[in-house]
Amino acid sequence: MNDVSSKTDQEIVSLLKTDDAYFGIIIDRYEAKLSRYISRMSKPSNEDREDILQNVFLAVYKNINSYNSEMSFNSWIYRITHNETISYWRKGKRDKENISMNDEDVSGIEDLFGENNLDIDIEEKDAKIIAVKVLDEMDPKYREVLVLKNMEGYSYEEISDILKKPVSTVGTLVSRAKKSFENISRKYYEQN
Amino acid sequence: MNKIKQDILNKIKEGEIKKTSPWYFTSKDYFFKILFGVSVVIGSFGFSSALVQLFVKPDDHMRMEFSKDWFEYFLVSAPYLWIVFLLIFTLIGWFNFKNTENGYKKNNLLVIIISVLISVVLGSVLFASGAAHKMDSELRGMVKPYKNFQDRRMDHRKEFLNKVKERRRGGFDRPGIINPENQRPLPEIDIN
Repeated sequence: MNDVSSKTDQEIVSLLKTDDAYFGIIIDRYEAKLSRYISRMSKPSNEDREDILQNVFLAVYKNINSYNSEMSFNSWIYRITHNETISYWRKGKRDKENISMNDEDVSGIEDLFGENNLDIDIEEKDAKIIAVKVLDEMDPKYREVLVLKNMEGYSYEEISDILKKPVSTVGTLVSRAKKSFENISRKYYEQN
Repeated sequence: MNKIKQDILNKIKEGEIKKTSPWYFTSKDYFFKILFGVSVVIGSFGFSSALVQLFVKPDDHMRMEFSKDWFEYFLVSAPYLWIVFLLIFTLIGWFNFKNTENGYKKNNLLVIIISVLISVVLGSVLFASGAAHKMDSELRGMVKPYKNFQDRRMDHRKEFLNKVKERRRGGFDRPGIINPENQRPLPEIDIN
């Protein structure tokens, strides 16, 4: 277990396949990132977020032998997180009323206001508040690609691996998601 | 160590969660690949039998009746059972392909087109080699419901053919007097 910080995820996973002690390192590396991603995707309560996160790591451990090193480990663990979050939605546990995202949770999405097709003059603080409302109103299939593309900063190929969809489909979804974001944002902008 | 990490590691340590064997994932992937192959091959049997029904089985007089109208001939004698069979197995093949490890990367339409094309090519080879004809006869002998279905279809065809003949005898399609100069029928004279 010496000097694991210099080891790549792939190397840690190879070691983990034979030695469970390395699993703690995977948790340390991904807990914060995945927790933020879960919040962005579903706005759960703290308790629910911890439940999802625990389920994610247990699924990672259970299925570690299915991981193929041709794919990035990051995409693979995000795929599991995505699936666990979706199954959390399906169980109907999502509580819209009591939850709010913090500023960091939406960082990246407010850039969409400045894109060519959405030239809205808006204060940064307001942009974040509106962005949370817009995201919440969006169709989940559009929200998930927007979160992955604009907030998590993934490429189309990585999103394709996470969502298990062809790259061309991801491209179409991102384009429609931006359009949907634009339409809902305009509605909020006109109201205020 | 935080609570989530501690809980996960405890569950693993207490043996509540175990790693799934790599063999499970490998065999699952092969299972879907083999099922895809089997679906395509069964689809090709369907297509080759369709060719037998279209080009070998029809009565000569039927072919003569419709010799000028291939579309009508196809509608009357199309082997719908085998066409549906081909479509069903194409969809099963597509589903299995999508469940293979990298199947999601391929475009859905492309997978379906390639699957149908393989079935068509393989089916044509079976037809050209005479294997399809033999298989159809064997199937009639071995599977009674199939024989009954095909017999019923032949009865419908004969019935349809008789109706067409009656219609033609009624004068709608009766050939008129041929003009020897241009070999075209002379227009009928309305004697009323």
